Amino acid sequence: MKKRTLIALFMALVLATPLTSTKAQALSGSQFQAGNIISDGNFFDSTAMTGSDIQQFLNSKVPTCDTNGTAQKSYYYNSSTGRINNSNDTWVTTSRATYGQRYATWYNAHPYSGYITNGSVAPYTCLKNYAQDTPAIAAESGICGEFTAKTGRSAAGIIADVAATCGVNPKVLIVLLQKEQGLVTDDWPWDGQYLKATGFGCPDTSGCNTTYYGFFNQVYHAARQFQRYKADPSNWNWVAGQNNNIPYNPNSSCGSKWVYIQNQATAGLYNYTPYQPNTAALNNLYGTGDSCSAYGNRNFWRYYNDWFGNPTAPPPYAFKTSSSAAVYLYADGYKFTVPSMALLQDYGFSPSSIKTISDAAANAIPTPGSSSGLSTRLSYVIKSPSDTDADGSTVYLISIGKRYRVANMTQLADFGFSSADISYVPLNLAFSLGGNTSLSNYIQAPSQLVFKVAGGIKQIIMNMTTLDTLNPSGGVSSVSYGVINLLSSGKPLTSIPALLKLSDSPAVYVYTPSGEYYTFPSYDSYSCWGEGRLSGLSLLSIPGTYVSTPSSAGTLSCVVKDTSNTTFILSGSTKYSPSAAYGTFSAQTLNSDLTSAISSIPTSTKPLYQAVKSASSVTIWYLSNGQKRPVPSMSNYRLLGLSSNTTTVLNQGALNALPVGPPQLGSGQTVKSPGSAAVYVVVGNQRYGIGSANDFNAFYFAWNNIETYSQSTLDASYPSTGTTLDDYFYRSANSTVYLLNPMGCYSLTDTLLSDYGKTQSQIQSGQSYDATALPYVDFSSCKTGSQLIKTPASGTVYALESGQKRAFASWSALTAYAGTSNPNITNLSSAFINSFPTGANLN
Amino acid sequence: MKHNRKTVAVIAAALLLVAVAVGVLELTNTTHIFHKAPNEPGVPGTINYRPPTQIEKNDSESHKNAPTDQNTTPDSSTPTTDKRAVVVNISTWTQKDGNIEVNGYATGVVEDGGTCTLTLTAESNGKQVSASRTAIANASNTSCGVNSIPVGSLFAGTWIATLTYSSPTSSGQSTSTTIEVK
Repeated sequence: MKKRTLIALFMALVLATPLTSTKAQALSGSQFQAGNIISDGNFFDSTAMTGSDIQQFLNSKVPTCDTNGTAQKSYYYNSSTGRINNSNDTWVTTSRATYGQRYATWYNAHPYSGYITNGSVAPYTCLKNYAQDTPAIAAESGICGEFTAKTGRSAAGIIADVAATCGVNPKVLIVLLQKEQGLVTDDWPWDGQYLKATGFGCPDTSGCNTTYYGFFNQVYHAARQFQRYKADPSNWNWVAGQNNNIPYNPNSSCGSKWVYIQNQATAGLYNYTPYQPNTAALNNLYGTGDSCSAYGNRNFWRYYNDWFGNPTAPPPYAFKTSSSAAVYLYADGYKFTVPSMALLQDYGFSPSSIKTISDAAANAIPTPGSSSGLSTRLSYVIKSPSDTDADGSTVYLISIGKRYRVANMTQLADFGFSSADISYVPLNLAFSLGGNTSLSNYIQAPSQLVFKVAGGIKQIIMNMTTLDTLNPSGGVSSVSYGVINLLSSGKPLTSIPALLKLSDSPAVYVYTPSGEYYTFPSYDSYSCWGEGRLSGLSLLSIPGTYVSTPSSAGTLSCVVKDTSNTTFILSGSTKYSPSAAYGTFSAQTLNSDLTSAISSIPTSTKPLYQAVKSASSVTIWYLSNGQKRPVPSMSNYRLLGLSSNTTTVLNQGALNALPVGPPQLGSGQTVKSPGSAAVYVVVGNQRYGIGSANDFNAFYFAWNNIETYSQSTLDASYPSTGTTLDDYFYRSANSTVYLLNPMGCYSLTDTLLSDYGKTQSQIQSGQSYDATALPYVDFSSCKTGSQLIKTPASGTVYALESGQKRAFASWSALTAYAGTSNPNITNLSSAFINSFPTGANLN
Repeated sequence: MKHNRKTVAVIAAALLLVAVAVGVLELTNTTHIFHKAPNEPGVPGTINYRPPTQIEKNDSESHKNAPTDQNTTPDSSTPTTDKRAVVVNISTWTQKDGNIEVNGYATGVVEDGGTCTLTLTAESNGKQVSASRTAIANASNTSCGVNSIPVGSLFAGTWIATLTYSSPTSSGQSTSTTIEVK
């Protein structure tokens, strides 16, 4: 590998590793302001920590409680006398439990002012585990509210209760417990430390007033005392707003110094602990000073800084001047440019909270200099300048007043940011924001819409099914529209086909898992696809800016064919698969995504009947030949055998999607065209001629039931067979031949057929239609035919023999021929009778 | 020349290994982009949930060591028939609303009911003006609160203020404080 390549690769790796920044400066005693130890705002902020925050904090400061005192302890001990803690004796190391036992034994026998031996013998209870019953205390106007009695209240609970009821910051109480008795970080505290936990009622030079003994008692009286200082400042020793002479030590020879006390909280601290740290104590902030040093207020200030940040810093606020529209955020003594009102709101500041200050005051607030490591301008991603402060090197995304921890540079890039976009801000500003949860790559807009974020692009997640699939852990970060709008939009995400509408356009799409948009060309198709419902989900309507510009992969029809080649007619809430007998419908072939889409539209439990209609129209349509064909009249409706029970009501869109065919006529329907007198009867898809008016009558057709259709319609849909219906009809139902004549219908036996010059097989084979051609003939009422025939109007009677008619010369000849005096004579039309050739008379 | 090139390559390879190691460490750190901070005091922030420092633990431990290097003697505060001497301090004074206001307190005692007496003595002629009020128990001492003397009963010039405390158990007097009455 070439040198240049190696160096380039190295540089790339170095650049790819995280940024480092300036180290935070450690707290220095020179920062201590004797007249301003803590601001009133911080001191009396009773909401600064919740009970669980407090418990978590106490837990963190005692990782393991040495309940049984098994850890080692070194001390002076005289084994002969039992004396301890005297440097004239032997330096020994034993367990803490042994030390505690020896301590109790020695000091109980040799009491010393101010020292309590209670609880020096194991076991020990750490503050995080401490609990006691607390009393009911009536409210004191302007001091503390009412306390109700509680049993088994934890130390954290007591701190929270007292803070809330007496209006003091729980952080103040925690620091007080530590600076007075070291209780917060003590892993083997003694009962004596609890009895005087806040040092209330404990003079520096003599024993405590036992009236105030006990943990709750101490915390309560301390908080109450600070409120008493505030309620009536003149009753006490130190007064805010004027110079005060504050000693360095209980030993008055150590001297004092006049200090202008700037606020009530600081005055209260001096009233509570009446010493200020001397220079020696401040020069060795984490150690001891000299014999004139006192540490109470120094340690209060130091612990507050170390555990909760600068006690004098006001909380961040937004401001502007009357001469400019520029808005700034104040934090930790600096002003930061706020580039947009949306961003300000994401930092948790409403526009109405912006203070207007004078130009002079605004100018007096410095912009961070380059040496501070801070940025001058705020952005959506922030970090403190230090990698080694209280949050390590965490980068946060800011939104809706919360901070979300960014996991790594990849996630930062997922949200469209690079390291150059990070604003370096004071840790206090970051910590003033709530949340502090991990940023999820799934974000939720105020409208509840959820997006997946990757590579600087947001993709809307169309339904819970998809979200559950993509993000089974369920973590979603709520963000503002400001953050949403920072991200460019990609294609929506769905694991199932779903309906999508862009709220700024009338277009509705079926959107598929493979990322394709299909459009509805008309309301009809939208309607037949469920009209806003697909996959059991409501139509998702979203702003068009939330998706990349859609490009249609095709339009959607109501008649479709799935991947297994099954045709469906989609009818809104249901779908039908038409019978093959209805012909082949022109259908849109669906891919697997769209096949999946229609699978969510249930198939109807009832079959698709051949007759269909819409809910709003009386028109009946007949499905045939892949078309919907109008049924033009009640006559046809009946001839087709239709009824309301066998008519399917289709979605209008589905109905409209079916191609219209010619009128559907029923077999037996008589028709004619406008330009011709010829009358036909429809049989199936053909029409037969009716030879004459006599035949028309013979077939029981009604003259007023003839329907007129254009010649072209008739020729196209019901072409003429070129033949007419015959007088003789073979009825397959009872294998009988009937003679249909204007004078009536007659059944003819084979013998009679022979007389008529016919055979059944001859008639049967020559007949191409069935009984549907003759719907009005009631074969059951036909009479039995006869060999003897006559016309109604004539007295001549004939006998038919082998297709010839022979007239009887006389009645007697007839009776003789018939063998009866009352022969069965059939009346037939003269035309019919004349159609037989005439043979010799019968005499 | 050849030797130099080899040296460069070895150095570069070593740096590469370090860089890769750092990169791997970063990849395995899913919580923070950067390494977690060591436990360090003096950092401004809001709530520090880190374990206690040794210095903090030493503070706790100190409450069990006392009284180091003391010859243990019986409690000197055991009540006797004599009043106990307490130290009285003037903590602040001001001229306000037509009054000289002097605040002070008695140390070494926490009790209600004692009497604080402010005495102003004119430096010029020794004129004395006094005012008393009842003291109240404070957290670790006894407060006299504000003792007021109307400026009308004084005259402009230098006055010497002293504060005395007296109760059934204790008594004491402050050192003198010079006050300029305007």
